[in-house]
Amino acid sequence: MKKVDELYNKNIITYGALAKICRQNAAQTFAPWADKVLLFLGAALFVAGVIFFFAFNWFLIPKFVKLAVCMALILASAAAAFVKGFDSYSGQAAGTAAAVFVGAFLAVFGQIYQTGANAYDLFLMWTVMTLPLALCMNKTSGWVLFVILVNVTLALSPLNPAIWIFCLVNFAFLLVTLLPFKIVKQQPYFEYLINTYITVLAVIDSVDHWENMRAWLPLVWAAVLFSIYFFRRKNIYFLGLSLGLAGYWAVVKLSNVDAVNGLWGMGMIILIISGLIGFTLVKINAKFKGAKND
Amino acid sequence: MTDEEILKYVPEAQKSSAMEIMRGGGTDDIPVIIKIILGIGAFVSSCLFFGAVGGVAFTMREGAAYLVLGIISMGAAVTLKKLVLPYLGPMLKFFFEQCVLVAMLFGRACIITAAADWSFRENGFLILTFLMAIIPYKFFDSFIDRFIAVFLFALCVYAKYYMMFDNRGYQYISFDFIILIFFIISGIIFAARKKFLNPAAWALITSALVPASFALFSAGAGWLGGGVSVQMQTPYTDVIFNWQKILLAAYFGLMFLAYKKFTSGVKNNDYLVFAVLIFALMPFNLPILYGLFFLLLGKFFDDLKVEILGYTTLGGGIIYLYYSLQVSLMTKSLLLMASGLFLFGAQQLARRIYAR
Repeated sequence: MKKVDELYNKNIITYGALAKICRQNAAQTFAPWADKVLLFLGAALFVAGVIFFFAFNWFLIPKFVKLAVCMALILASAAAAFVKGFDSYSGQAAGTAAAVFVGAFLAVFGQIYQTGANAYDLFLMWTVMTLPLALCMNKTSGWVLFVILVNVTLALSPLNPAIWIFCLVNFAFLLVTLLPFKIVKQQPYFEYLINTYITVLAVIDSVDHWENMRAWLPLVWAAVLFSIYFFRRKNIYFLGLSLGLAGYWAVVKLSNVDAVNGLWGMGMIILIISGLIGFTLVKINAKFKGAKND
Repeated sequence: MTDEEILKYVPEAQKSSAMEIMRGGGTDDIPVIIKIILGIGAFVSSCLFFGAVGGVAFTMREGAAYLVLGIISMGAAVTLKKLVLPYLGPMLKFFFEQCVLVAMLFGRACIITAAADWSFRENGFLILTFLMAIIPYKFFDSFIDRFIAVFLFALCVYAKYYMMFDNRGYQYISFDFIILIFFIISGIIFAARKKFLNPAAWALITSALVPASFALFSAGAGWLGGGVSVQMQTPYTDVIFNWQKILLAAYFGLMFLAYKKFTSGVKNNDYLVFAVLIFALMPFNLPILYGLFFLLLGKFFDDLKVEILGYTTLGGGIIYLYYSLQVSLMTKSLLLMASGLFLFGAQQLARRIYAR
């Protein structure tokens, strides 16, 4: 419909024609859409009502009922996943929901029995218990939940691991998905999420460590990204991420040089570097497209 | 709808240019990541350059100097955008668009600083931001610049409204009326489908986040005290009988008539919509009605952004309605469950009617 808007904005069709086209289009799509919206809103309000109901009566509910509710939710979602199968979206959603309810069960269990476990123990247990489910499902939604849990567990760990450890762990996940086996292949969004996440982590880590070896982490990661996505998988987004990171690194390094330290100098450096990166990416993109067309 | 069906509405003389648009001609085809890198680079470097220029102006500490610098900067930005940029390739054009955007924003900042230096009060800022939004609007084609200019004006409107009631000693000032007016204007703009007006509509509607965050702040204060703050508590009768809904019913009714006029033509019984609307709007609070309107508008024009705005506003409206209701959490939970079941029922009923 953007094309129709463009036709109207260029005065090729009248507003009346635009309205008639939209009406004709809406007539075909409105009923299924309204059906979904009503179902979603109804479900959302009902679930919110149930949550409020439990929240209000939480202290009056016997502890076994609390645990039974969580167990029932796990069983119901696992049964739904079993019936639908992991190949359907609803089955995957039910499987992921089962993993989430495991966490809720552990939290309620810890609250009732006061096991002395802290947030780290809770997330560690949750991660460990999610692993078999993620392996059974072997679907991206399950692995995304697992990776999130691993990262939260690491963040809560009493050992306070450095950011480069996070980078390494997530890079290991990425490497597994890049292996040439069908069984480890994930949806493209997994790769986008992990790569972008590691890039952000590399930038954060470098901020406080410009004086030591860890300042090189962004550059190393940029080189890794570039080598994977230029030579093997040909993806302009990741190349942009890689060159952008390298550009950021160069700008920060150059900002310590006296000759360019100042508003004009820095402005000029950023202008030149971003221009060069943009020019390089356009050339690479043209090359990729040419290769595709061939 | 297929391209052939759309082309039926195009006059014969315009068919060739319409077909070019339908084929997707005129798009620059630069990948988003390249745009982001170029955009950030050009924007940040221009900010640094203009920061240096602004630093020189700052040493003068003279309103007139800021004003002159602002006018020169805005004038230069408009001139470059109009005269030079159309002749550049897509990548260079995009790059320099960010530079002239910074020049424009810098010019605006300089003029506002001049007004502050001359100790303008809220009326002065209101007129100034209005003029700054309206005069360059047509000449400088940039979503961000237009958005910021109108957003600044909207902020000044809120400030003026606040001062009006604050001076009279009001304890709690509700911005519902201003939000309603902004909603009406942005709804008309979205429905008009004129692309160059869209930034104004987005600025007006997103400016409502400012009073909404005030409301959230007072809600937060209430939470700290262990409940809903007194100012947030609303009896349901206030939701049902709200004088602003009369304005809203009239607005929705007129929009419906406009829709009929442009599609199938207005019939006599279409005027009954006003009476139906007065009753139909009763159960809902204003944000829910805004959300529903945007949802329908977005769906009708197949505009995903407006549809998302609708979902967001509707979600916020529902949360606000149930949060602020002057009843216990237990009653709220039962009300929510009943509302959910009611919507399920409505869905089933709609299915049957549609199947028939």
